Amino acid sequence: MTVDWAQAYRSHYAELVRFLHRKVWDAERARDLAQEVFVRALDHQPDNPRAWLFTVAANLARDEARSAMRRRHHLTLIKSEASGTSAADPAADLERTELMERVRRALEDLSERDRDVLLLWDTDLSYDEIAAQTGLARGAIGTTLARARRRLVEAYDALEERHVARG
Amino acid sequence: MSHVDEGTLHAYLDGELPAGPERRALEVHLMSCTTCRSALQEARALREKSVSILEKSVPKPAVAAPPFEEIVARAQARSSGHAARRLSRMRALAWAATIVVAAGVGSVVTLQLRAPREAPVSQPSAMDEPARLAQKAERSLAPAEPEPPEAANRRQDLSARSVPGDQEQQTEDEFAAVSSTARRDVVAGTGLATGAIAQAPDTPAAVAELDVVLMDSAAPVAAADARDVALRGRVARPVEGDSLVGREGFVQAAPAAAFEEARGVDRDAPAWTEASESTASEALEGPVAEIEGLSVEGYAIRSVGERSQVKVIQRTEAGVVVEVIQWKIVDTDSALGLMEKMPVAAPAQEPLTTLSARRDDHNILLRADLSEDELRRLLERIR
Repeated sequence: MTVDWAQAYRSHYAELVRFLHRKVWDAERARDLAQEVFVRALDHQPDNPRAWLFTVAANLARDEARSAMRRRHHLTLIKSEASGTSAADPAADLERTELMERVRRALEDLSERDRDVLLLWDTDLSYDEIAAQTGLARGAIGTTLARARRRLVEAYDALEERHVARG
Repeated sequence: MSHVDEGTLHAYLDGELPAGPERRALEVHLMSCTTCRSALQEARALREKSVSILEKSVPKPAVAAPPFEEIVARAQARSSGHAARRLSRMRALAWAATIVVAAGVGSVVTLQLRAPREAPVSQPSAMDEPARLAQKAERSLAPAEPEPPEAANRRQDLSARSVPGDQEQQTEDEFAAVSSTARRDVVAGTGLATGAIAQAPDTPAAVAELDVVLMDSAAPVAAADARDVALRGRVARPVEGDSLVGREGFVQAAPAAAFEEARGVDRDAPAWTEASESTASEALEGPVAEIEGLSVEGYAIRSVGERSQVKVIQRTEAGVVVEVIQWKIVDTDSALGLMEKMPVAAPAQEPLTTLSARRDDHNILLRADLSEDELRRLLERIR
């Protein structure tokens, strides 16, 4: 089967970045990894691009997380002077950063498997594709998603309440 | 029908319950069961809420994909890089094989020449112990005795069977070609090319002649020199003439070096002073952060108010100077605010890329004439 990779790139790049961003929590890194996924895809020429892309993306994100854990200290990029871009609205920027941080922490409350299933579903993968990638039975996807959604919402609400209480 | 489980309700909402008897039965049940209708509403609310939460984590601004051609170019560059590395490994193997063969043949001939002067192996009692040990040592350097033709044929058959496809065959051919090139290089490098070697180095006569030539006492040295020259040619050499660290001090002749540049341009900032690693560590009240894998060319410190800044100057393999400027956060200022307060030397001629990061209670600033991506990768290697 011949895959139109230019088309696949246009269709899936943004989805991949979104998926990876929720794994690595660094927009720039997510973009780098998404491009790396496509570079590898061109080399491997898989028959089922969509499933392959997300499988490789998940693996890359996992490697990334492992290497981050191996670092003795966590480095947080706080400023990039090279880009020369400054937020047009610092308050909105801060708000967005805080929201993102809350989502990240809420997702961390989920088990790795629940989180993977939820994030894969959110990138429009079908139950069949999610089952193929995670090794879960297709019939278990609905139950896993139900549990993941519930935990995410509960954890997020709890964080938001704490944020409001702090003022 | 009993009550519907939560997983089925979510699958129904996700449109993953295939049309058929199961779905029809579910819809009929929902019409008559208030408990399940309520559960469905709850599931729907949960689903929508989780989607809206996940939406908040979408990176802004919207993702713009780089041109596809760029990805294709990267993929092509990588495949050619793999091929080059494979060839490079083959060359290295060929060199090793050539030298080992030459040394082995040399030892065999040496043994043969000495044989008449030595006692026959069948009369070990005629030799004193040191002589026997010496002979043993010499034999251990020589190649194994030639195996019988049947054994060689068997091995050849097995070897042929063990090659699963054309790729391996191609690799062997590649190896043979490289080995041949290596032999020519050795000959040219040693200046020993005469007769058959010079004219047709791959012929059996030339190989035999070369092997004899290499037994000459000077030949192995010359061959090794030739190999070293060839290897040196392949290895990227360090940039010469702009070393930041001189024999006795810091920054000798580096007009474009980051250190001088910092001192000259950022006139309001205190000058950097050369320091040892331990002094730098004391100033930071902790270990000095460095980029793992890059050579360290020197350390410098300076005081800014009550704070001390430390700079580590490192160099990439390509010779690009990278500054790792760092300082301890000593008050309640935000990391970003402090970053802006602390003077960081501005670049002199060309704008350098700068990335700032925070590690525990230290700020770290990386600066180099590299792309942001390259610098970001270096930042990840900070230890």
